[in-house]
Amino acid sequence: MAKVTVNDRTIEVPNGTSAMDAIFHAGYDVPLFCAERYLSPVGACRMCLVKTGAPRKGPDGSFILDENGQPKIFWAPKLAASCVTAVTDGMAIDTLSDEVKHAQSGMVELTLFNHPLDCPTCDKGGACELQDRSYEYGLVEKFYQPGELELPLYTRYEMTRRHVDKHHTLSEFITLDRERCIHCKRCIRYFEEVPGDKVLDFIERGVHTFINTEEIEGHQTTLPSNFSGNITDICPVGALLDRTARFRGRNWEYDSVATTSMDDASGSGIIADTRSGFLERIRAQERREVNEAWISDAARFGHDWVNEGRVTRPLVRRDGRLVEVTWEEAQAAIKAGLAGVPQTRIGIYLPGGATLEEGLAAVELAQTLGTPHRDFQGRTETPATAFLAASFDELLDAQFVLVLGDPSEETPIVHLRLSELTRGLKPASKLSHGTPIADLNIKENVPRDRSKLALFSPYPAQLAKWAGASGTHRPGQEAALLAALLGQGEAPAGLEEALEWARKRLAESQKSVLILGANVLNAPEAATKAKQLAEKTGAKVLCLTPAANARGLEALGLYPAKGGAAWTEAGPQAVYYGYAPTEEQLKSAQFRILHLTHRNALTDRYADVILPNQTPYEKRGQTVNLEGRVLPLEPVSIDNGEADGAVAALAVLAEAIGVKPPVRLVRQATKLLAEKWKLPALMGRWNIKPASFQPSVSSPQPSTPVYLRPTMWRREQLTGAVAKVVRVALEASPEVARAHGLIDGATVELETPAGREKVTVKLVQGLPSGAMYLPALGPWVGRSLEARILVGGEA
Amino acid sequence: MSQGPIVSGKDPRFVPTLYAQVGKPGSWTLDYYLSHGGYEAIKKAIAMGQDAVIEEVKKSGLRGRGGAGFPTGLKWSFMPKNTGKQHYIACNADESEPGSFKDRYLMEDDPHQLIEGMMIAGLAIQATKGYLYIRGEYRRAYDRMMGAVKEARERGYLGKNLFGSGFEFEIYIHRGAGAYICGEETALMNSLEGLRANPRQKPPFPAQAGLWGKPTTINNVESLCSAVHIIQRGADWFASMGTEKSKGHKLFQVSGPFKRPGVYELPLGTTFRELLYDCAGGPTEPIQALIPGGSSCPPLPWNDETLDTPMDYESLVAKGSLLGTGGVIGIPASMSMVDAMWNVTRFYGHESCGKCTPCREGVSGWMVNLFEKIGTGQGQPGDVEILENMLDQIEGRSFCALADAACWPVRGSLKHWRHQFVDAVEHGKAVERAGSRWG
Amino acid sequence: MGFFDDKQDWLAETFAQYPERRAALMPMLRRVQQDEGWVSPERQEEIGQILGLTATEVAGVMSFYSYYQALPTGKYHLQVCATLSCAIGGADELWDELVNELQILRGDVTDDGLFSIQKVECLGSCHTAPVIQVNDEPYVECVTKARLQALLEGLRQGKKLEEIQLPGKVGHVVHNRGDEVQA
Repeated sequence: MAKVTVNDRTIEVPNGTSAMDAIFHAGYDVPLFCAERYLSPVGACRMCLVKTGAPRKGPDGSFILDENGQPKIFWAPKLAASCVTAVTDGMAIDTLSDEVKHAQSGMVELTLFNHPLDCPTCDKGGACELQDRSYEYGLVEKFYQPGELELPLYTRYEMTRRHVDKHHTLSEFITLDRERCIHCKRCIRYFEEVPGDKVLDFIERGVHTFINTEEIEGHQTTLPSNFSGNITDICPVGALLDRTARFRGRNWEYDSVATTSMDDASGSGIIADTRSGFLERIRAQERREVNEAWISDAARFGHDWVNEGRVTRPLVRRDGRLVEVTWEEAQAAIKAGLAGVPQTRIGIYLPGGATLEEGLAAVELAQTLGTPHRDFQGRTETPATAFLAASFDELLDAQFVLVLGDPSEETPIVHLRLSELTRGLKPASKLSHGTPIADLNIKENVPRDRSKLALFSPYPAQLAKWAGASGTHRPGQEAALLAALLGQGEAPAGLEEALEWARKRLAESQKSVLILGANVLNAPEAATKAKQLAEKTGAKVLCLTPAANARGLEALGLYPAKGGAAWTEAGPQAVYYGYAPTEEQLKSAQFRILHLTHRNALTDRYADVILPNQTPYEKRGQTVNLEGRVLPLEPVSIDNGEADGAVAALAVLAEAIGVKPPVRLVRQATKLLAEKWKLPALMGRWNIKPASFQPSVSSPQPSTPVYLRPTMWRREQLTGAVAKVVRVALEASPEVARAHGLIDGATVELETPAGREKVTVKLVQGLPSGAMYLPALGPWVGRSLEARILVGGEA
Repeated sequence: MSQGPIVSGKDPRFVPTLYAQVGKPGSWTLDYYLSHGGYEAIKKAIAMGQDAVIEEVKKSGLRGRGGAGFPTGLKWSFMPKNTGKQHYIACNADESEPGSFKDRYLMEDDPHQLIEGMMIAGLAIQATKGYLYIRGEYRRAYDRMMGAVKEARERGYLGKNLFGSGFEFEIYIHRGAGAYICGEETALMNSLEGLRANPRQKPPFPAQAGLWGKPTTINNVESLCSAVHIIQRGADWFASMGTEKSKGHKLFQVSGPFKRPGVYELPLGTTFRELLYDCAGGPTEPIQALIPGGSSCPPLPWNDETLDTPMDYESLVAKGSLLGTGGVIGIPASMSMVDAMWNVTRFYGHESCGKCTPCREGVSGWMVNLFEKIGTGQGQPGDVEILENMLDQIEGRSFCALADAACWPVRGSLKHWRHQFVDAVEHGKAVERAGSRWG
Repeated sequence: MGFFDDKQDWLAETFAQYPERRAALMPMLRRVQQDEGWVSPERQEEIGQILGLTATEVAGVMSFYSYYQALPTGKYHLQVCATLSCAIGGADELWDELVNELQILRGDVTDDGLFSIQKVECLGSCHTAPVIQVNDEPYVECVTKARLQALLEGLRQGKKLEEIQLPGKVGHVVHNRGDEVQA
């Protein structure tokens, strides 16, 4: 620890802390633009100049004392950028003197004079770091007031400002205003350091420096990264803006709610900004244990669907047509429809993003009814709870991580944590102001340590770039791979060396983590071997489950009892679905209650009752992420009519059946979870005892499988800008395509769990032969379909 | 004359060494180099051992000749020992400071001297690899250095187990591509690694984590060449020249309207008068200002006081300027100081890397614009005060010394020739072309 | 065909100079610049692919250095030093003469494809001001009107730079003992 005096306060901070963090820790403020949490400090903006001094030792080895007998402080001749200055024991920092104020106000002036004064039309206005710091640190009257009775000068710069591209479209999601850019380099450092996608860089030099990305054909640019949106959060000015939220509102008009993203199993913290009942923007919420300050593009930009085409009132089928009714009338219709249906033949199915409260209501009701038909959408064949979960901190601490799958798409935050692992970062220390803003442990351009990572996936995955050994395999070969890692069998051809390296690294590492994708969890034989491997090596496991709350819902017992139909199967006589199931499932039931946010052709054709559902953004409750961490959901004020969650809908259902609803209110469920289920407090990790599981028999591999490969996007998000970016294509290697008579660019129709789909054929070099690939866009990820290509199209 | 320290080129005891071979036919070949005792210093250094070499250089008082004047031996002693890591010596041959051109001829005409200097440094810091970062425009210097390295390699003066001593050394040449900032040592390292040449944060200092994160020392061409002669002739010989704190000799460069502009090797402490009159033959037209050590040094007025100032680090600081690289530029009276400073400012503005705010917005943006305003006759009352005030805001607050280097000459000019600036502003007079006598 | 396809030996030799491949970026850019007169987007892409860098990274480095050209240049790219000592020596007038003579500005190429011009910063030949550098060749020093004319004429005739006879005095390096040496 180092003792540091900031102005009049003396504090202790860990050695190596930056002077900037020491100042904040002491409760003083210092202006900054280029420093940012989780990024390397670079000392570029020079806003944080402070005066520093240190005691000195005399020739006798003791401190030179001042007239008061205290160690005399020798002040440095030049001001220092506090973000890149490490504290030393006995250091003194001055942030209040005229010298410091003069430097800071000068830097504000320099920063401002090429910055346009278009705050009234800038989306950042009101939440702009440059605005705030200009008010607080610029224009110190002492230096800018020419005379006692004269007005202070607002700027001494009376020349034309730099005029450059103001509306530069970086991608469908992000727009760049080059005039507003103050060259803090946060965005460039972010891309290099955090996701490792070097898609943005400074071009030119000096005053002509600007940021740019690669132009593709037709002067179009994209930012090929799953994490591009984070730069809009960290841009200190309005240079990088979220196009999906552009001009939707002023910052002070938004109603902002901090909640949890249910887009994947990471449990990322988000801030949802709404205005007049519309969800307009999503930003990252800092949750240092989980997503730090970053979210995936799917979690950020995929929100427009929430505002469009919602089911706002219950509907019942009368004379073959769906008509809007009240909840009471819907309940009466349910009561009538369920008459004569045995309670044990009613199925209850929740979406994968259901809260623990909803899961509890479903489990309790199913038990009351005695029905084995209960499940949640996206549950994997092997439960995630079969494995002892690792935490993200444990992941950073691991000596070796073996990945089977594609974290960048399945649970994108894991990609970012693996980025930290390969950069050798440890969890940041905690100071009184939270995460260090200028963490000197983080460096620019750190070479990645490849000895910590091995990755195997059914197609070339992004993270292979940081893996010491990696390989692609045919979907379905996971068990063979794991057998080789266990020393139980031959390695698949071509992967011998890579697997041998991974096996050795696993054996020699004390602390290792396995990361299992949906392809492993859905292949029972592979999952069994993965469990053996975990037990043998003592490795903890992160399961990349398709369902956001898989661990939580599994722990509550929301899976079929003996004889019950799984979410992938048809079976029950009457069903409650919290989502739109497959046509086969709808067709086979006699009475269908669909609790939906959106209708589609299938639901309109088959539903007997449709209840308006909440999106995860509108729910209050709790969820459990892939680490087993309990996280909160807070309702965002989105206009959804009479929509209500599954707790209420299941209570309506129970009453219609004629049983007392075991859970009627969310709050009641929350209480039950704490008392009966001993659920830890928020942010705590739920110690779920690894479930024993009976491996079900693997279903035979289709002869020509279409592998439903993971993508971070979900089907319902494909609207607006997202629809322009996410291209759904049937991908195949040229050999496979030739074998099936498929031509690049042809349109074919496929039978998928979501119904018949028209997709374009895309030939991709380097894909394993023996399978075709289709983005899963939802819960069926990691499974293979039999390729039933219905109509061959022409190019 | 023959008593006390040597502070004049006219002193009979003064022996030119660095440039002794420059201009001689075939001076760049290995045979020529060997014919006058080449590669004897490195053999001697190997026999002395690493610590003794550092001690000798420390004792000589040699200070970095790249402009900053940091003691070379001290720099070498900062290098960690026996780390088991690869150490590097990088030679800064990105000579880009306007007014400086001494290293060019050292490389063109005496490349083996530099190779030997790099070897001695390599021995002193346990580096087996040396990178010569040569400015991209120096084509002839590059060709000669390449030829010399090849020749040395072929004939066993570079490589493994040199002279049977077990000492190993290899040199690679990396060409710059037109960026003054690469003369800043950490920017040079970034440039060598294939990055944008932004300066790096210090600490970590290059001696801790330099090229590719490994311990590295960066020295100027002239410093390394001086080390050869220090080892060969001894620290006492070197220290017999110069003043108390500025030891040895140095290459001074003269440009501007003089009879014989060029490079002159003189002891530190020699006066400007000797350099400019005895060596360079005196001015060809009236001179008003003297930039003493490359364009970043504040100009001094052309008068007897300046001309009698000894050229050493301390005397020039006392006069409010700097010795820098020893590149003396004479600014003729026919050229407005506003014009001269406009030119210098434009240079620094063009060369600013754009990393930090004061340099990017201040030097590259505001100062250049303001000079353009004043220089084209659009200046307004108060502009000179703004310029002065701006210098306060930029100087000492930037990331590296480039912004300081841009401020110093302007500040110096405002000190001695303020009236010219005020005149330009008040009369709205555009500056006149300086080189109208070109033809 | 890729530019480096037939230069594998040169590439291997360049890579061998550095512990990391990325350091070969500047030598590779220079190689393209020397051979083709500019570094086209296709070449930038190719270099990126060889080194495992994004095209953005290559462009970021390339645009930082003033030697690499993002636009095609003439067969003879004339670079005129414009910094202080050369300005004192008449670099501005020299530049005007060039513009007049060739009727082009920065970024243009003469119709015959021979010349393009660029003002550059200090070339490190202040004592022989003003100075012109043609492509990557050794400097043309002490450029007077007559020498400039002779230079352009020689280049137009397709002569090699070292074969062109330039009239007048060449600059010199002067030794302190008074012996003048021709540079």
